[in-house]
Parts: sequence; structure tokens; C-alpha cells
Amino acid sequence: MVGRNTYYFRFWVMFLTIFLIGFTNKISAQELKHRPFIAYSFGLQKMDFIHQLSAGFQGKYMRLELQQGVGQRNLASGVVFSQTGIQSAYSIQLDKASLHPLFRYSFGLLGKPFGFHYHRAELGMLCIVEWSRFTKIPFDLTFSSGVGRGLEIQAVNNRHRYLDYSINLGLQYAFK
Amino acid sequence: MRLSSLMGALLVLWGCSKVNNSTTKIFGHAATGLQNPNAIYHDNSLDAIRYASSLTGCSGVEVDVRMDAQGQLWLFHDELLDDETNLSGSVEEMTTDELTSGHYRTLKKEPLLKLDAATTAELSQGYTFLDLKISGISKAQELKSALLALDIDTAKFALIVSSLSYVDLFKSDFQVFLSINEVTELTSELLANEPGLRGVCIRSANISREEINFLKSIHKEVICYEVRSPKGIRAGLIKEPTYLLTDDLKLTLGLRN
Repeated sequence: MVGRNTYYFRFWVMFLTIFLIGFTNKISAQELKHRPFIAYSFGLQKMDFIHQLSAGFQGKYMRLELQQGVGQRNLASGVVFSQTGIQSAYSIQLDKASLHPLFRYSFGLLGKPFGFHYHRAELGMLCIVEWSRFTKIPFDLTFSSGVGRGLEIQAVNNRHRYLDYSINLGLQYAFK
Repeated sequence: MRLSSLMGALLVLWGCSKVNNSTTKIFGHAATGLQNPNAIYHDNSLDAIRYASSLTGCSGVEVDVRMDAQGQLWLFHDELLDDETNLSGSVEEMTTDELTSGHYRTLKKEPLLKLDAATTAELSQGYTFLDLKISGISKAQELKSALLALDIDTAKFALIVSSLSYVDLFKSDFQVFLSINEVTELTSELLANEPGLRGVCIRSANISREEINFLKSIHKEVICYEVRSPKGIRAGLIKEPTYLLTDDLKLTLGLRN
């Protein structure tokens, strides 16, 4: 077999090489600490759908994240909103997952015909499960949920506080 | 060539523009919606009325009126207080003092709202439908007296009643809508002989666009209610009733716009 230089032989060698590199890297897996990450999540806030991109830093005990989302108010209403948030969380490392009690603050702007803004503060829990320990594709699955308070400000003297909650599913890419 | 391309592009863009020609006026059912888990405030509460009134595009609210044992008027939907409030029994058998101490079982614990001069002033910010929950013709006369005592502006308030006998009683002093379950209840004789009847109130699912157009053609207004889901609200808007009482105000306003 050695020395054959056919197309199929070269393809097979390439496949095995990639597989072995991946396998080797799985053994020397990355640690989920001291590394920046980017993430995407999709979730529900009350009855509003939201797509969210975020970037942050995962420390040994702390995790900090900046979030930018767009969503649609009240399912299929056509009213969109933009939301910017910051999230800080404590990190509890488990074997193949990590738990992060979190605090999240967000500021949002609701589109026409309403055009008012809102604040929301939330306490919750983020769970990250290592989907792949390959350093080439270090994706993690994220799941977070929380409960908090929202404040809708339509005008200076027109404020409405309400119970808020969210549930999010996402994917995280952690840089080596 | 460039000019024609530009004109073509503008034509396409113009053709795609969304024009809102709907003449339907949007109202909050029981203020911000009945049994709406997404509502910030409980239905028929003062906070809910203020919230609905502040939303751009909302023409007003519909509220439910009941009379207590002492002849005072209260905004409350259900027959019994037990499920939604800290009280037990019905509004009709409670005293004013007992009801004054009542509140809804929500996080905000909104107090039960009495329909008095202050409340009518608040409701006068927009247009209001008062859905009268009357427990008999003898009580209807008392209820009418209580409403007249409030000296409400008939240009800003209209009544919804559940039977023709109540229409006869109230039509001389108020704008009156008759609540019906089926369009078949509307006989031509009734429509022709009731000039005091401003229109009808019916579930959106129980009336078609053609029937609404017919009623409009004989100068009767149509209130449609019980629209909650996006599908139901869209269907309600397409029929173009005169008024749409929605259980999800934000969703409806968003869909209409």
C-alpha cells in the first residue's frame, strides 16, 4: 500500500490525518477558562423572540459578556426591538459542563408604532455544555434562563414595571 | 435606459410599500386584554386603563361594569370574585366597603376599581365602551340611575348590553350596542325599528366580512371581540369591523401597522 499515489489513496491519507489530529486534540482538550468567546443565542423574553450575539471573556471564576440582540415583539407582530446588555456570571466548573449564576442588565428600544425604550434586570443561571473538545472546532452549547424585573418607559411620567423572564438556547465558540 | 431602470425600481418599491388603510379602531378588551398572560396589569384595573390609553394607535378601552349591593358601580368581569381577587362571592352581593378593600391576586395587587367621577375622568382620555353586566331588569333601572348620576359624556362613552329590553331602557340617554352571539339574532325588523341601536357587539369568529359590510351599509356599527392569537387578530383586522376589542393590544397595533 505504501507508495501508491492514486487519488483514493491520497484522499484516504488526508482523511486519516484530519481524523487523528482531531482525536489527538480531543485528548488534550481545551479548558474553559481564561479565554475570550463569541456566542449566538435564540430565546424568549416574556413572549418576545430574540436573536442575540455576544462576545466576552471566560475567567477561572468569572464570566463577562456583552450582548446585542434583535427581536420581534409579541410573536409575528412585526414590531422589532433592539436590545443591548451586559452579563456577569460566577463560574462553577464541572467535568464536561459549567454552571454560571448570572446577573444580566439590558437596555432595549422598541420599534414603531411604539418607539419607547425599556430596561430589564435579571437573575438566572447559565449552563454551558462542551459539545466538542476539539481545539479546531471548540463549540459549546449554552442554555440560560432567568427571572427579573422590566421597566418600560413610554414617557417621563409614564413608566411601567413588570415581571420579566427569559429562556435562551445558544452556541458558543471559545478561542484558544 | 438608466431613467427607465430607475423608474422601474421606484415602481417596484412603491408597489411593495405597506399602506395602512384600515378604518378599524383598536380598543383594549377589559383595558389591556382579558386573561392575557403577557399583560402587565390585571384587566379592568386603573393601571391597565392608563397603560392602554398611553399606547399609540389605541382608541380607547372596553371595561366591564357591575353594581354592588349599595348601588355603586365597579369594573369587574367575572361573575364571582373568588378566582381573581382576595374576596369571595359576587360584586352584586358585596357592600361598597368590602369591595373597597378588595384587590386582585397579582404581584402588583391592583385594587378593584370603582366607577366614580375620578375613573370616568381617566376613561375620558379616550373612547370607552361600558359592558354592562346586569343581573335583571329591576337592577337595570338602578344601574341606569347610577350611570346618569355620574354625568358621563355620551360622546365619549357607549354602552354594551346583552338584551333588547336593556336597549329600550338605555337608548334614550346613551349610545347603545347590543351584544349578540350569532348574526341570525339580528332580524331585519329589529334593525329597521331600532334607530336608537348604534350597532352590535359580536365575537369575531361569529361574523363574516360580508355581514359586517351589510351592517355598515345600513349604518350600524360593529364591535368584534375575542381576538387574541396572531391568526385571530389578523382575521379580525381583515374583516374591518368598526371597532376591534383585542386581548393583546401591542400585538394588534403591531400587526395593523
